[in-house]
Amino acid sequence: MPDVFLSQDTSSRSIGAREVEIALRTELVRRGGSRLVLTGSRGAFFLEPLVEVEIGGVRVGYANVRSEDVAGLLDNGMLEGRPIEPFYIGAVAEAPFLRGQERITFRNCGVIEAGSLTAYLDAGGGVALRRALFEFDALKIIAEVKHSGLRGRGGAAFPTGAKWQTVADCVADEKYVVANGDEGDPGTYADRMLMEGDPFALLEGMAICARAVGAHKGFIYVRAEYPRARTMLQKAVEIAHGAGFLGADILGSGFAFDVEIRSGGGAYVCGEETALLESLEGKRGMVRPKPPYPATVGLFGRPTVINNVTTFATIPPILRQGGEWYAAMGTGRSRGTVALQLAGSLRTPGLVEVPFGVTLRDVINTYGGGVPVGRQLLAVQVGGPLGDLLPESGLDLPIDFDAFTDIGSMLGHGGIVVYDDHTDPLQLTHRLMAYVAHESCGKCAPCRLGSQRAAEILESIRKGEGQPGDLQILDDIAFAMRGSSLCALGAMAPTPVLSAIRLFPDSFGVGALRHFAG
Amino acid sequence: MALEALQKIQSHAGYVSDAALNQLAIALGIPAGELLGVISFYSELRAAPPGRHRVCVCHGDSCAAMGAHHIAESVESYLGVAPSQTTPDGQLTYEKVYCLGNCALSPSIAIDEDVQGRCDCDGVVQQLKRFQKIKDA
Ligand SMILES: Cc1cc2nc3c(=O)[nH]c(=O)nc-3n(C[C@H](O)[C@H](O)[C@H](O)COP(=O)(O)O)c2cc1C
Ligand code: SF4
Ligand code: FES
Repeated sequence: MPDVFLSQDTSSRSIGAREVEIALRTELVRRGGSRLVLTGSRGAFFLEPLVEVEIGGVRVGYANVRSEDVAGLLDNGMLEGRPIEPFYIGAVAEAPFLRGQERITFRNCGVIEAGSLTAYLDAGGGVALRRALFEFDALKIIAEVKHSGLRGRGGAAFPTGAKWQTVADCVADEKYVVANGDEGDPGTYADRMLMEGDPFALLEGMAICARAVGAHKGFIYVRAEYPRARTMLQKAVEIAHGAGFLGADILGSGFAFDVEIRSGGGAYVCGEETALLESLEGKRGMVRPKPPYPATVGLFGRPTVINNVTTFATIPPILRQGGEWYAAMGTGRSRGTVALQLAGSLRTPGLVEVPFGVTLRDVINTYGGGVPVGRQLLAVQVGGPLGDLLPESGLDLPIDFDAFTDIGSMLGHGGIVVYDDHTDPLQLTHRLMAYVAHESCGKCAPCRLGSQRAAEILESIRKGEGQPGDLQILDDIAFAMRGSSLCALGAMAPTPVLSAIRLFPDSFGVGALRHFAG
Repeated sequence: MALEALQKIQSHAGYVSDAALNQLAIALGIPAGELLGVISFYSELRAAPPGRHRVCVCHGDSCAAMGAHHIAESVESYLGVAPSQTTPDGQLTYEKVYCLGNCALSPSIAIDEDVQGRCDCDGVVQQLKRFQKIKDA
């Protein structure tokens, strides 16, 4: 009997995969025995719940299955891989959405049993850690990471190897490795997919880092909104412990490393690395001035590597296949692959892992399927709620950290949200600014007060009560926020608002705009 | 360690009561006012008892692009409460959240820990009705 695979990640369950699992389990037992393997998602969410059956080494898929379809599918030969309409999509890896992707960081997501160490090791997991423990010294590990050109996937795109080097060079009684699983940018879900679908990749990446910098204690900070990720990680840590992949003497190497899972408290700013450290120390998540950077003065004042979850999960393949192999993909100073998360008004949104260098337009059209029929694209926001708004004419931008910085925006964590003509630009900017006002940690006056005032002005314009000088005031606030904010929350917040005023002058009132011209 | 301790208290009791707060302040040797500051900073922490269940409507960028405000309006008008409030019968606490990590299936809501994707107003209100029924039964 062939194996049957089904995703149980939060998104799949949000459209019925839980019910499909129950139905499948009952029917498979009744019909005497295919194994049901529960995986994370491949990120083609528009196909979920997606049941896969392995026929002669190839996994064929049945998409958008509901629990009430299960018995019929089995009656009609799903276990033999029969093409049953309208569910059958053929070989899953050849589906148009997945075929062109380069899955490296997400190689296991949706493919192997989630949370099974055996499955992880069978898929090549653990090889990199053994190399880091028995073959390479710290210098060599860091050299490979540097060669890979890997830059942080959490937002700031800082070179990972250089960060590790700084921590390795520090002399301290204790050092820490912290995984940032706060994934605060609305519109992003890559870290969640990894934590739920491939938790051992994160743990392996952290252990390799610990070995490289000489740390023995790690923390994973998981946002409060991700209870399933937290549970999955907790289990994975216990399993890894039991198997000697974590603990006092990892795989008999004499090297000790332990990981603890911590929950966030529902504050966006806690994704910022220094606020996250404050939060890990149990305090209010207030941003610390930098320098000193966490690499020298971090958690409890000790040298600390803090990397994003996706960054850590990319380490094992780099160490296994070599930094040069990874660096061979990409463009400019953005090497390797990037996990783009499509969201908003698209026909087929999902997770797309491709080498850096493709254009935004290509990603939106080829993978995202464009905006739904009957809708017009209004703007695309890349890099989270602080990212710039790009019009249709700006979509030829290559997916490259520096190309985005050059236009005053950011690629950030790789979130791409598409707005269509049902979105009111004024409502959009008001919502973004109100969000910043809500999430500001309050340390800098321009961010705390400016965002509040800007949100009020946008609201009054939206209500048709705008005053002639409003846009000038917005511009002044933007200037103050950009110039004197401690972190990107305040400094970047005006970016999408100013773009919206430029892109949609009519919405903001032409009279008022004339005043803004300067 | 205050945050973790407060999270533990809340996961057992559903919220952090004055009594629990004062006890913790003594145990950790920090002023109660400072603990209150921590509670007020984190939107997940509560100083008042919540409803039996929680319904969260996502207002994150992707859900907003897909009409989250319509869902929110339906929920608000059906329950008759504003964000962060609990229905008078103590059954449901209604909250605004910013992204549930389910953005490819927007708009999303969560009822307790159960995330639901591709929501529409009628479907969401139907589900809320179920909670009322449980109460009536
Ligand atoms: C307001 C704000 C929010 C942030 N949120 C996150 C987040 O949710 N996850 C994350 O990994 N990085 C976030 N960052 C970036 C972190 O400060 C930090 O650069 C990152 O965790 C470092 O890891 P990396 O080098 O692997 O990207 C945020 C930064 C700012 C200014
Ligand atoms: S810019 Fe805003 S969020 Fe960042 S430190 Fe200043 S007040 Fe806090
Ligand atoms: S924006 Fe609503 S789930 Fe992410």
